[in-house]
Amino acid sequence: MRLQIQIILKNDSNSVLDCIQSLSAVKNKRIILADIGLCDLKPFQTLNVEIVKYKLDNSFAKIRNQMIEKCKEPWILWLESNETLIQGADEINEIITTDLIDSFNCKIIENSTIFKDIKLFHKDKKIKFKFPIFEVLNDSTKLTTKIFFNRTSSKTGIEDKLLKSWKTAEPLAPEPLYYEALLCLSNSNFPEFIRHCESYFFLDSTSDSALLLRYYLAQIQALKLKEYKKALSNILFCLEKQPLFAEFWCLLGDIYWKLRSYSRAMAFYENATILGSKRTDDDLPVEVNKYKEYPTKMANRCQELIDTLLPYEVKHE
Amino acid sequence: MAIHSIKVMITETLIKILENPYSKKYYKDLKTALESQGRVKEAEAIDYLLRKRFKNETANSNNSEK
Repeated sequence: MRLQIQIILKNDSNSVLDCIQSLSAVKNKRIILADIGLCDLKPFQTLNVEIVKYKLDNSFAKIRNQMIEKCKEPWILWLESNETLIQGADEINEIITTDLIDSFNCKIIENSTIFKDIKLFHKDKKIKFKFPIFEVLNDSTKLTTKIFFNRTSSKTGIEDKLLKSWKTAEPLAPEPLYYEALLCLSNSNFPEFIRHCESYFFLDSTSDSALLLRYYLAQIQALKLKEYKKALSNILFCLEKQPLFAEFWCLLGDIYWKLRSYSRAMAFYENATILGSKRTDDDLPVEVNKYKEYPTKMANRCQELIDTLLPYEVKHE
Repeated sequence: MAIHSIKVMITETLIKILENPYSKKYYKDLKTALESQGRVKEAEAIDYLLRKRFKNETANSNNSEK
């Protein structure tokens, strides 16, 4: 075998079955399921997979690194149980026939956002997972692929416990605060989200994670809390760092749309489509619909309002 | 110019763009500020925006009055 596919059984056996099914066109593979006692194992007993017991010990990264250590195959593809391969089986098959000591970025689609993650790597690359929860691999020399996975939203139910133990173990690390903020955001707990954002920015205000968090914060301030001045201040900060991100210009458009300043909103939606087209390949998530479909639709709506519905108000903006 | 001053210049220019998003001058200023910071790709993109948005000065002056 040339490839070991590694999946931790975090909770939902149905999504794991979908994940395994999606890999049917990948050849020369061995599938290892890490059992940490959270998932019903019966559905996997008739499949061509191996189940290995692991102790959670408050860290998924620890389990992943142990799996790498034990791996006998030269190539490793690590997956979350809620991910399915939607494009790139041929590319995987091609890569694993080589002996390149490399790692490969794959694209993950969740809702309408594309993330990038190192999913496929040669064992001899000697890269290791970090973070006990939301574990990731880092490698500055990674190569790009056209391998796509779809990820459905899923919660294991143990995020809070793992985050707490992470914070206790590393009280000055900004990352647990980042993920805590995102968890609060996904639970629509906005006051706690804002509190965690503020704590995070105290520790880190310049990284890519800080930029993303500031953008999410600006979205909540503008679209949920109607705190437009605060939102503008945060989105300006984001634009200063990344003026080519269509998402940021769209949010400016949204803010002025909410403020019924349709002429300005239209200009910013137009900037989103023009500047977004110049965004080059980077590792930050891309909200696909903010690059053409959404800003074009909103700019047209602004134009309609300017032309016909509200001529008086717009003229006197 | 110090990096901090250039960053402030970019932010100030962005604020001016917020106030008047149809002004060619402020996009030009933004391009210059990005160039001063060595952010070549972004400056080129703003140049592209300038060319797309202000194809001719007539269109610019019409838009500025919106």
